[in-house]
Amino acid sequence: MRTIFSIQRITIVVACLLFSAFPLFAQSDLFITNAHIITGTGEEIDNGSIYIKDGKILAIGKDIAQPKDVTVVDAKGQWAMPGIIDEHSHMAMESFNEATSQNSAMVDITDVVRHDDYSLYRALASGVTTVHGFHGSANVIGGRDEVIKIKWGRDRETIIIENNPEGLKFALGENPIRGDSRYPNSRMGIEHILRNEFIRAQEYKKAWETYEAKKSGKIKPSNSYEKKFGPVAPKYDMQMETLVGVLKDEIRSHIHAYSAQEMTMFSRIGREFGFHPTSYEHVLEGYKVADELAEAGTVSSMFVDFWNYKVEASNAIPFGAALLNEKGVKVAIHSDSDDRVRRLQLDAAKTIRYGNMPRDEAFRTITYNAALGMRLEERIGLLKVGMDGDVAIFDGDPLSVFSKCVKTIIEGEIFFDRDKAMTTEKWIKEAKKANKISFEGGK
Amino acid sequence: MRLSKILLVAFAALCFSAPLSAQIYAVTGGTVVTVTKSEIENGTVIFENGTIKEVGSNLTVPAGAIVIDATGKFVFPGMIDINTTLGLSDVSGIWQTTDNRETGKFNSDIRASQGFNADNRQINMQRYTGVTTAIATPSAEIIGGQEFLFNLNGWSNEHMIIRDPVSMQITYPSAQSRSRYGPPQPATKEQKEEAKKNLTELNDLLNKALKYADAIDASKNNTGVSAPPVDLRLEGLVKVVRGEIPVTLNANGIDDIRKAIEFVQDHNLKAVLVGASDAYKIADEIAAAGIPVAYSELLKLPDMDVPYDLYYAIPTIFRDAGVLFSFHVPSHADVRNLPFMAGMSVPYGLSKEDALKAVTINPAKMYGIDDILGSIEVGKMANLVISNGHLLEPSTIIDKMFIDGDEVNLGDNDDYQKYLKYRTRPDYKKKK
Repeated sequence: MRTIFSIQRITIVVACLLFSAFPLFAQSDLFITNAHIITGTGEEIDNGSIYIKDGKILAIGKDIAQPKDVTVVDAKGQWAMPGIIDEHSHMAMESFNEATSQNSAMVDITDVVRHDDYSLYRALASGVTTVHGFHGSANVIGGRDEVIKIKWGRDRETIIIENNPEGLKFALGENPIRGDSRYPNSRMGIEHILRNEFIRAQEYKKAWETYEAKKSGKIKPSNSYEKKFGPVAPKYDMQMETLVGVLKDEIRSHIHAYSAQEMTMFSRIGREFGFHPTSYEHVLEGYKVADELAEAGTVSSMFVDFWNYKVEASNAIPFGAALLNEKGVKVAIHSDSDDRVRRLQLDAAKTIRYGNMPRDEAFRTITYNAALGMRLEERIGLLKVGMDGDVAIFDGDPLSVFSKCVKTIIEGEIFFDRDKAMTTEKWIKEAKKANKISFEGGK
Repeated sequence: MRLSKILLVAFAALCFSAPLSAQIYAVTGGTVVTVTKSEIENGTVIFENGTIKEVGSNLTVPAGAIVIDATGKFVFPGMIDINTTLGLSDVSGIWQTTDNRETGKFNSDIRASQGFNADNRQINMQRYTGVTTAIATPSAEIIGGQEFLFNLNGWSNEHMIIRDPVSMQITYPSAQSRSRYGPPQPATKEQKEEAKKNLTELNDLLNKALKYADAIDASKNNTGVSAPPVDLRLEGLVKVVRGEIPVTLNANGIDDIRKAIEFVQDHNLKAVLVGASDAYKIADEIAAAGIPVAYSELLKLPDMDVPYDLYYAIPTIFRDAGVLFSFHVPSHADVRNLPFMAGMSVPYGLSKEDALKAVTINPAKMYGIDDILGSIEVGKMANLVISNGHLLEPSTIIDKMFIDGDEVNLGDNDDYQKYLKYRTRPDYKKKK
């Protein structure tokens, strides 16, 4: 595993050096001023500035002197918040289900990312800077994930962020048991597959550990053959490599789950095999087991108000996010959709209506908590010195339906600017100017 | 024995009828957003027996009125969703819970109200954000059937249904195939012929309905003239061909919309365009024809060749062209998102006032129910929402709601009950 992925990484670095060295190492210095800043830490700064140097936030606050030779964004009357993070998405992928096996832990979504997919631009124009891309939910153990920073216009290798450790998608409930033609057909079977595969992974891990120990002389050779020729390496298995990463908590585990009992089941699996499930995904019935989820310490990355399309989705309540938050669960709100990703801030706002979520915590559901779900909280999700310079600027309170995103900044570079974007207003004006009042093309 | 029975009946009558029929309510101190007239700061709304009696500032609260203090709050009229399957369906993936589609091509005799389940759990959940009234729609191949207007509060369909029929669902026979995903495909020869045949049949049916209506009138006005034999399909269309109720007319492509306009004009119908994907492209023509549009595509994903905010901004195109329009959400489990959909058009050019109208008075006008609904005006039904913020804001919390003058228990829905149940869950520890 290590070798394969480091080869990939070397390729990426070489490709960058060859084709796009400048954007990668560009000095992106930006000074945002006069903004009402939602930092995400609970602090709001009125009329504040953010200085982003070399892609990172160098200073943030009220009285920061404007440096020389920087791009200045005057955000008078506007609100700045951490770039929105969509913790669960399938956007910009050629395909996302390798469901021919119930365990496809050997595949990686990174390989099918389309950097020029228009869904990315629409999300960017809505203030979204980071997207966590998942394998689908058609099988119990899916594939590895990817994380994209929406640097629209850049190549594939630039937008996929250095992401170590990676994550693995699991899926419980109706999706993997849909259809009669393959095992499993029930939640019982799902649990069995998980246990079976993790036991295989333990054995695989042990086999490698034994091999390494023999190689270094910590364990004596088992037989005369080994004595003479040295130990024989176990067969390399990419599926098992990924699962071993999960067992060691080096690879994140993200578990698609709707029903309450699915989440407590996976928590038991985690305890049994000694790893810590990173996030439950969708969590429609999570509110029923809030105490258990809080105790497990797993992030709840969820829908607020998307439900009812199938039985396991018919018991979701829009109060779920606020309830879980109240009980001490870290709640992230995600889209899982090319549409909803455009209005995550409104989903966050709904948690105030449905369950009185405090405002700053509502903001965190689409920023810091989402970063927690991806173990990227030291890099994104807050406007704080040292963090990535990812900022979404709105023309009003981002939680208001009457506001819109006007600028999206990633690592100090402006990737979306409504003033420069083609808007409907401009589009119509141009059509009228060209005497094409009708939209039919000149009629 | 007999006396006690009488007493019991009298007591019951007192308990159940008195508060409903005679009680006067006065909502005071709030900002009353009437929608049709100006906002009233520190306004009062007085209603009795389900009807608004007085609206204004400095009104005298009648003696004995229950006073609802709305100081620091807003009073809005309840919103109206149309073209919905609310009350007819529950979980979309389970056919046993969906009662909105019937087999057949020309089901003008089918009445959606007969599939209405007054106790459908969705109704109480969906009103939570301030939708108080809806028009539910059936569907079939061409004529879906008769739509009905109902309030989202009450005990039985008899109690909740306000007008039945209020309109007729018709899908314009289309030769344009539009898949939900991807661009429209050119129609095949067979599709074109099929559409032509269906249109001919639809036209014939409407013409027959007009003759049928005339024959019924003739039989009523002239002794000796016998009524035509009862034909339920024609019977259902009588109000339609007379323009007494509108047609909820589904047409999407430019060609279809143009032909649908001709169809409406040929038969002298009243209509509301729904679906209407391409309506914005010929908004001027639609405005000239005086046909309103119910817009449901705000959340549609724009392709690369159009601006990223096109579907958010389409309402401004309707406004500029002078098209009367409303918002509506197509799914019954999303009715509660109606206000937010309207609100989302505001940062892209629509005024808050116009957005609000498009979920209140506009749909009321479009369906000819503005005599009783759509604004806070004297004589209208007391469907009121009292909230701590703007009706269209996702973060607004609704304080109180009245439907037909009755106070709605906002906690009376499955969502909220589950919320209460699990929020107050005892601290559970596994016994070792």
